Amino acid sequence: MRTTAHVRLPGADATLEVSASTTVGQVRLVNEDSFVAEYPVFAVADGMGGHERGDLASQTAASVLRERLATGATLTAAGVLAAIEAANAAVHELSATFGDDALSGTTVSGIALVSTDDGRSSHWMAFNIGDSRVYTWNGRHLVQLTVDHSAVQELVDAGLLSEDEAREHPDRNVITRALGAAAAVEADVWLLPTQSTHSFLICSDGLTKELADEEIATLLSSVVPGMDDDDDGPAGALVRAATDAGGRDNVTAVIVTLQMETAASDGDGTHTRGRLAESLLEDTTPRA
Amino acid sequence: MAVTYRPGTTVGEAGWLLVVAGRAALLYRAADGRSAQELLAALVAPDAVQAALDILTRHGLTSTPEFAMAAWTGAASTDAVLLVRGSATASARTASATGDGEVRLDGTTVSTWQERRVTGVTSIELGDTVAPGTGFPLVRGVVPAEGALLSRDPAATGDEDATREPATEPVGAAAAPVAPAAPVGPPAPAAPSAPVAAPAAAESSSPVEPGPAPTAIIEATITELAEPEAPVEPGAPVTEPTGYAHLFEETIVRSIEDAAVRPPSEDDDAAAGEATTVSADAASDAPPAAGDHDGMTIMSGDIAKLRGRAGRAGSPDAAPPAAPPAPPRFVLAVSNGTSEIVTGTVLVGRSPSVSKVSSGQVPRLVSITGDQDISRNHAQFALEGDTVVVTDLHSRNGTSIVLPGHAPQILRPGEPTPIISGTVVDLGGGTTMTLRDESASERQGGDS
Repeated sequence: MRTTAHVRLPGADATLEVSASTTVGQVRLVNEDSFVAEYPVFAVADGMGGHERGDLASQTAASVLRERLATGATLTAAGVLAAIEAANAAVHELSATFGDDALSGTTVSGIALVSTDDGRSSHWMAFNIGDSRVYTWNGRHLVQLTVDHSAVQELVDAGLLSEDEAREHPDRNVITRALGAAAAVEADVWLLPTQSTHSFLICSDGLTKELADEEIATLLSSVVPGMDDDDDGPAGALVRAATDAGGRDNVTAVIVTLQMETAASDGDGTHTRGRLAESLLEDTTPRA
Repeated sequence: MAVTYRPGTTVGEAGWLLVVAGRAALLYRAADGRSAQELLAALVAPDAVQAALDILTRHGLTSTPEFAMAAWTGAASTDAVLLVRGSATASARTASATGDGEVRLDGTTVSTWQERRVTGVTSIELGDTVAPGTGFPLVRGVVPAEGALLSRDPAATGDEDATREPATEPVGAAAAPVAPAAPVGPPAPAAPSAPVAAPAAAESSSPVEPGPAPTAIIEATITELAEPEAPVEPGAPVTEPTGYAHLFEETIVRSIEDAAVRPPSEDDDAAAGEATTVSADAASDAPPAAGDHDGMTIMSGDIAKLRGRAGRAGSPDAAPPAAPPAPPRFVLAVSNGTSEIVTGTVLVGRSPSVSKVSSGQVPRLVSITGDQDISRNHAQFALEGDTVVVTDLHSRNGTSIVLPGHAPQILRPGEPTPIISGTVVDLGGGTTMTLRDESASERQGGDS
């Protein structure tokens, strides 16, 4: 799917371009991935538990997020967290109805446009549980924002594994945190101020296991907006590339680009009081 | 050492605090009670003078407040050391074989402070003169005061001649505040005056009391006082409504409200009615009003009655007089007119962002737009227990804070610094944030 919408942010009007695509891949029989792509919430859920259960788990998570967040009301960070808790409860309930010890659950990663500072400003709130990912894309650099809750990520963090080795590690599908696996869940949260142009890629691990970050970046930069004939835009291009590269898992991608029309740019750097010459020489960009 | 003091009415630019503990007393100009706890502890240190000076001078000489300090020295407490800085004064009366004398110190002529050791001291005055019979007794604690009179306990010296003259003075002073309670009636109030009379007797006529430290005597006496004080009738002519609470607890920094003299209640009904209102407030809203001492003295028998009325007005258990004080509710008033409640963490900046926090720790964001002097993530406020700490997030131009009555200080980047209500946090570029404790203002509002 691909949509373009006009949205109103505090102090600025903006255009929102969204494309989303999902596929079962070349190996799996069921697509256990689900996504939400309705302003102001965009998320990917990758179900687990095999055979219909994962399917149901990710669909349940996505529909709870959609129902609670894509209502047209302005969101707050607390509201998004409450929706994640509700989704967790709903998926956890599913596990109970199956009646055996097998866990069903789902990852969920995504972004939501939230109002901060009592409505005076807006932020992108990114959230993550599991090993689906949110990347930021500025037209040149693709930067992974979320940190996987996975066994291999812990090995990478400990310096025992390289990113490339992690991709082929036997435990690469083991996640350490999942929505619905327990009565309570804790998401990791990021809050990024909205910028005049801001793009995000949200994807399931089916994409990132087939394509390296550099390949994704190359694909994204080669997609010219408006010149793509396909209905599902750049997200479709990524999903097709991952399927062509093997498609061993379900592949899902959601790409969100927010472009402010009346950009009230606040400038990038912080001025140094009374030391202008120095500020010209130094890199004035504070750490993100 | 027996101390009586003349109460001050303000704590602020012109306010003086009297700290009494151990064998020392310190009167210093204080904008707030920030150092009072430490000074109170310092005065009982082995080298009280040095310990107190360390605290008073720790922000440099220019920030050192004006003060007058006295400490008894020597095994028999016949000698004393006096220190004076600024406009504060201290004088010591001496008695010796050659006659009585007076040593007076004043700090206006020196840039640091005057220090003098005096022998054969019988009494010491710090600050304004405390007229005989008008002072309040203080064993240990911190109070707003304009002046204090310290007299050596004769029991410690065994030298009757030397002490006779000053002894009469403080005795009168010590006994005086009890007087208002005395007229209440027959047997019960006789008790409160009795214990004070005891040391009076000890000082003037019974040199039998030999060995034990003088403070011990007084403290024991005071403890006895605690009980009988409560049943003072609300309708009685209570001329000192602040009571003697400062005697019963170790440390007290009294608020302006407490220091002010409150007119006595008209009658029982008025007092009860007022109390009922307080209880109803407490029931409907937060518990703050009931917690703090509100200046009213209520007879214990009335409490049940008041509870009954409060019960009719609302909840029966709403206003136990000993309810714990309300937790502080801190609010940051931003110079652009907005305000933020400090509950968890508040992140302030030109364009604040948050990286990977757990869902339970998502901070509130405050954007200060349109000022390039302010960094994207400039400073963070966090509530830790009952205290607010501010941290400069390695901002380009830094953050400075102004604690009430203190010179501005620049925060060390990344170092959490506790701040108190009234502190102004300057982010630069004309943007300031002032911390206020709303529960405190509610309490005061409820009292007046």
